[in-house]
Amino acid sequence: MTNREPRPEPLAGARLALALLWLVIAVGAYLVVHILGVDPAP
Amino acid sequence: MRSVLEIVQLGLAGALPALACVAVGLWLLRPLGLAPRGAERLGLAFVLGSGFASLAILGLRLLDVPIPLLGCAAVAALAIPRWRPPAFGASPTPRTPGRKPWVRGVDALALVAALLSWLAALGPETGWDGFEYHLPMIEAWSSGPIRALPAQIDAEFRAGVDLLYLPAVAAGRPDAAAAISACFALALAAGIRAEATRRASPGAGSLAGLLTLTLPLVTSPLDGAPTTYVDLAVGAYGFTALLFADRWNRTGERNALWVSALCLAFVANAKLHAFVLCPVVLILVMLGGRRPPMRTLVQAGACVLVLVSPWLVKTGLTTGNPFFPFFGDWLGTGPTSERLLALRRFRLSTDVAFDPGIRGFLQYVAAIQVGRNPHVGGLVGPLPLALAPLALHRMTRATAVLTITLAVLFVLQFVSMPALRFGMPTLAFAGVAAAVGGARLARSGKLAQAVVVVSIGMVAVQQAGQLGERYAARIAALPRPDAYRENVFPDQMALRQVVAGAEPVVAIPMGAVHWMTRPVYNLLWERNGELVFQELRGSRGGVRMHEPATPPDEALALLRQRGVRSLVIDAAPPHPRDGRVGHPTVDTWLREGRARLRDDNIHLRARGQRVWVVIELDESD
Repeated sequence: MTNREPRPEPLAGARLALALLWLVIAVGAYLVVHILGVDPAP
Repeated sequence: MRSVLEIVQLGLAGALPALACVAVGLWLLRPLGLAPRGAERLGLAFVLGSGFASLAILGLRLLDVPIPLLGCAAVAALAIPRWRPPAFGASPTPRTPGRKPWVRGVDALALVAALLSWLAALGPETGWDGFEYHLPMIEAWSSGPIRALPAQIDAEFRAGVDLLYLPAVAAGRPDAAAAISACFALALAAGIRAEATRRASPGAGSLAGLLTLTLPLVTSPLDGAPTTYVDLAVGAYGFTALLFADRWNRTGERNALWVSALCLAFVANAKLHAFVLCPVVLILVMLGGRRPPMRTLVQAGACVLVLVSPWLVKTGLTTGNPFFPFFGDWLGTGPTSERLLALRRFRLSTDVAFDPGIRGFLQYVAAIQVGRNPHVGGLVGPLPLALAPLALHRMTRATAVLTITLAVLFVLQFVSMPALRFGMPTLAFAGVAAAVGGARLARSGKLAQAVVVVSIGMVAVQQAGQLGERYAARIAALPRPDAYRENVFPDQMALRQVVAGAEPVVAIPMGAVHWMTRPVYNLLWERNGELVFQELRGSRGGVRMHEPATPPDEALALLRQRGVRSLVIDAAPPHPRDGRVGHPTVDTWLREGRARLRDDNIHLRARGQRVWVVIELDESD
């Protein structure tokens, strides 16, 4: 490992699909909770 | 109602101290070998300048030297020759003209958000801590020298950020004080933007800057409690300290360790517990791949020690223990320290209730993304958890050490201080990581780019809507602050009215001390540090708390010693004409004829169905 930051590389295949699914779920859950006013515990 | 001229004066009282801080910082950048540009330059100048300005105010006010706004204007004028960045020197931040049109559009939106944040901070303080001690403490230190303030225990803690409120408070414009808090939020956003630009792309950096300003973690403190949340300053100082330690690891950039040391001192002067970042930074630079020479480390340590020593001296003089409330057993403030720390631990555990353990931790992580608890819920939004993990890829040793260190800090925060505001230095890096992860995903094809754009756009619109809702009422309050106060805390405005008709000094229960027109004594033990007026008992998350009430005789003697002649407390209706108010200590005094219930009470409403009643202490006793 060096101390020079590499440029972030693109994702592909299953990793890309998983990352997109994860993003959609996270943003979707947030918007449902905060726009529709759902109140998850705690 | 304020006139336009008064609003302009309010704005000047908010702007001049901040500009003075920027001026001091701009003069420091060149000796420190720093050549940032644009927003990062101003942000870094404010962060560094505010730390030194606060120490200067501490020194001057210890000697009772006034700090007029005109003095701030004179210092601010010093910045004029340094306003333009030097033509020489490598800049790690790309110049703005290199940014694409959409990126400049995002920057323009960020500028609007920054302006709204600053204006909202000029609204009246309605946070409990703000009007109970931050502002009253600074009012006392602006009308007399910095000294011990009887029955104001918070005056014995670090107040490095609070002192920056002093010029505005001394000028009779306390509402302008918190413009400083907004400036720390802007500096933090500028720092995150610049680092995200370096590590990802200009677009990712600009989006990170905009989203930081609209993040509930930043907007909620500025929504009504801007003087309360010195955590924004802790975030800016702590983030800069960690950032420059990491910069040393990655680039060996000249003087990065000095900047880190300066910010470590400033963060410890803001909140003593933030001193924990000192060993964290030491671990970072020792393990990050570029171990500094021992001599440099000793010099940096000495720099931290020199800059925190004024506060050690001040606290040593006023309490006898330079590290109060810590190390009370060794340094002589034993029982007070122990009780205070126990109470604070209990309070921290009641902010947020999560079971200790893996399950509780996972719930905590989920809650900070999407929950609704006011101390935790949804405060950082969904993007850090969704995008930051994508940045964990082919890390350098420096970034790996930084990531592990921050992760450990985050777990420690969950265990000891789960309220999210305490984690601002750590969470700022989550913003940088999310920008890197987002840039990586956006480069992964057109579909990925579209999903990233839509996701970020939806979060930005939701957060911007929330920002507008929060700030609109604050900005509308600038011409009519009392109407805003009445709307937020009608019971405290009623208390003000009752206190105005009572014999001073008036004891009040946990109230808006800053709003009162007569000298008051706060009966809340957490604030006065000497009198337990109401028994404290509770148990939460394994932390137990029990403080019996101070015996009535002792309580009365203490109140008389503090000059208290009347109390205004809340009682349940119907108005107690049988000589009792439902408070054990006061009822004892009434029964023994050592106090009397004033019969001309005006029955103004306290919380719920309760009413304010005036108790007069018998002076002949």
